[in-house]
Amino acid sequence: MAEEKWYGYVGAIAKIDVGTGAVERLDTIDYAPEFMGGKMLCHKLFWDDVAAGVGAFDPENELIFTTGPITGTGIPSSGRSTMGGISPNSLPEMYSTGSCGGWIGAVLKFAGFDGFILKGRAAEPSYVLIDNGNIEILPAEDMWGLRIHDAQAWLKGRHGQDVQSLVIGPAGENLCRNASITTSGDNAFAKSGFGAVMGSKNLKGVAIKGDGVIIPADVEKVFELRQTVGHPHKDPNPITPREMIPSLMGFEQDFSGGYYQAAQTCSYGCTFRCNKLEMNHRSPFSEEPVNQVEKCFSNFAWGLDYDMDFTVAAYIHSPLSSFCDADALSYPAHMGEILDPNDPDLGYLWSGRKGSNVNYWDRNFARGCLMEHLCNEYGVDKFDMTCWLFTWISACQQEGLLDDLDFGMEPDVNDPAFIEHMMHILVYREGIGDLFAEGMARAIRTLGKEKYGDTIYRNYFNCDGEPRETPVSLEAGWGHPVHWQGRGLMGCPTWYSKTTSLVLTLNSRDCIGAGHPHPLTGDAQRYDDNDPAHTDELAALAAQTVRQSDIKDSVGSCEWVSPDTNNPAMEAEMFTAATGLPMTAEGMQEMARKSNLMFRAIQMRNFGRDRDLEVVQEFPIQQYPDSYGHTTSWEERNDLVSALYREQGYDVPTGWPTRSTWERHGLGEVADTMETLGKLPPEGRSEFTPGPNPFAHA
Amino acid sequence: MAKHIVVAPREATLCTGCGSCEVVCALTHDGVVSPSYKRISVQLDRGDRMLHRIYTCQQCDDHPCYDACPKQGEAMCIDENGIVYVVSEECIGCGLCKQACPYEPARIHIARRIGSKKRVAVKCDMCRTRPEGPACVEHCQAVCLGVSGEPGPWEAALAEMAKAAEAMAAAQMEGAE
Repeated sequence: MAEEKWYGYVGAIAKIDVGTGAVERLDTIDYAPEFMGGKMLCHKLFWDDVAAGVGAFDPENELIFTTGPITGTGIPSSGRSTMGGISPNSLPEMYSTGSCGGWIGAVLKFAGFDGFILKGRAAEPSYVLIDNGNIEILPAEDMWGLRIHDAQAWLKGRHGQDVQSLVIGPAGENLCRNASITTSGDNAFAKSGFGAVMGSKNLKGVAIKGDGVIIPADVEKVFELRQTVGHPHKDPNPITPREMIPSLMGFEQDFSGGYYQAAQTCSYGCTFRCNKLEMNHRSPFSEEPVNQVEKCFSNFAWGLDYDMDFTVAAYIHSPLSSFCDADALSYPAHMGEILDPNDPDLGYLWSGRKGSNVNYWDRNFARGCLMEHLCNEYGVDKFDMTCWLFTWISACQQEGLLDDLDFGMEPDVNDPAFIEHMMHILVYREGIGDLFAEGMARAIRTLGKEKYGDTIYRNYFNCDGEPRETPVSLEAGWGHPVHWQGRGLMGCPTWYSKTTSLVLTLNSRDCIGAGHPHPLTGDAQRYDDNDPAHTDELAALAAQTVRQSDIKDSVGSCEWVSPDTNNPAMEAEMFTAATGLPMTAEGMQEMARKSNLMFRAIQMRNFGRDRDLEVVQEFPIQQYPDSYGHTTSWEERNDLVSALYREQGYDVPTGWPTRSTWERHGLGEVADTMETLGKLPPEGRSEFTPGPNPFAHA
Repeated sequence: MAKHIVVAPREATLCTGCGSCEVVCALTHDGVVSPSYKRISVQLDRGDRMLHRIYTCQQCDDHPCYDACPKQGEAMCIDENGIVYVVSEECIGCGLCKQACPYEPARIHIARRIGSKKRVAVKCDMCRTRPEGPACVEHCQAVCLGVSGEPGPWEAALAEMAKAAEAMAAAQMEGAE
């Protein structure tokens, strides 16, 4: 940044009280570059403002939207933005963040703001209009009740085609804990349930118009990055008829009837196209066929009789393109040249495992698209619906557990009419839908977890046709379902599921916002033997993944591009190109350590986080066998968590950072706060002996 | 009609909606990213179809924008290839050129100068002084932009993509073995 001119950043953060209409303008320079932007900036703003005891639906909860310094600069993957606040979908309610693509981050900067904070509660249904520096709270009674796309269209009709928006659908209005906030291109902040927080503030959305400028400090470097980050596309994107579900392993699944697909880019100015455009499917809300943008998870909605095959290549940042890019079958044309047939690791990269016969639902493109379309239109987290609600209904139905529950019609996940009915009663809280609007974790506990959560689903077989013990409820931790944990769906190498579970242990939500582990190929080959001797190495990999997540979500890059193990300085180069400020790879790592400590400080002060609470998350599901038949014992789980705490500089018995850890990263004042709260443990305690397993699995 | 930017048929390649053309356009001309300084626009369809349209100046032979300019030859000029371009320093931002544009939406817009309250017309000049040609064509990731009268870049790219797919399949087979 020069004295009179902002580079990368645009200079202001708006703090908006939607109850009073008061707007306070914070100067970005008071927060950045020290707190970088994106996720780290969210942490700082939340720490300063939201006291312990505030709940997700209290007016004092804040929805904090932040951009990164590279957002909107033209640097590849830089269309991302972050949202933070108390998540109603986490169990227990807890501070959480989410990352989202779209145009909204760039347009907010065009309007002159690096971020905004929403606090309070409006007396009547309202929306916020940010128009080139001017901010108003406007009535939304004509928009209240509209589904997502209609609400977006309403705002464009009112404020012009250039307006970008964040809106909620009926799910958010009705405080469904898994409600999303959606921006253009069906990009959404979904997993944290922030849609319900927005609904609790009587806000239908935020509309933004801006025609200002974002100035990158080094335009030449921006152009260089556009050519060198990842493997940027320079190839056609034809609308393609397909009759296979793609698979990285080459075992594509037949898809009778076929479908049409092209690729789409998720955010402004990116050089990748990780999203699919699903074409010509039926909508209950339109007489014409519709198209929608989907990501990798759509494959499961289309058909979940068989889990995906997987290769190691999908889990390692290799010469291959990103997994999602591959999923959209949009490999850059020169990928064949990038792969070296003489690479000794090539065989290992293409090794993997066939999927399991999970028998949740049949392959049916129209039904799968409908499932996703309803999530898009109502504004609900489709992962919660597809991975958890509907697999649970299927498994419980097959195990005869649903006889006492009244769904209003015969539960049948293969029947589009039931999907439509179930989504409707959930979103509008009708009948038993009211229970599931509280989120799956809470619903299952209300019904009785022993019966409705832990009963074994017996129609689940591994790739050799042997029964594979799996519970009817695919819960992992913090109120979220499995995701890259080797159980339920999405098989993966054992070392990967262990590492992912550790990463999630430190988080408060599902893993996309937490980051995917990216080891070097050689390391992964060593971890593959499932030997507990690798505990410390997996803990180090998890800690590295957590840091990498904070780097990409704070600078504003994307999970599918960051990190680049061939160029650890990539994000530092991005930051410098955007801001003109010097930065190194180690500087980014240090920023990430501090960011993660700030996250931990919030969780400790406001939500009572400690070892006892963390060690039992993500663990129960690991007692069931993964794709290779491996399970995790209580002792191994505790060893892994202890190793992770040592790696992080935490006191091992409590999981709380010591004073030296806080102070080493410039957070001495936080250490003082923790001392006041009685949460400053002594130095040097690096061992812990666990008690008996509280989830002894029969 | 002078050379202008054209868009590929969707059967050959579909716009991914990335907006890279807008970004590199403003960066190339003004060193910023901004809707005010882009000379090409992606009109995103975020409704039920999600099929996007790209708009830019068609370099009309009868150049009504040039004819409407009160400072012809100074603020708005025509080069030896028939490209109509704006000399920003001379432009008074009157907006008559935009009013004269026969297209909807107009392919010229009026923006505030960076760091000033004065206004200026902004339109595509085909990157006429850029040796590599139009930046939007060079940086379009879906190669769906080309220059009229020239072979579309998508044709060569489609052939290359087919060749790369074969190499990829061969590498997978070798790895699997």
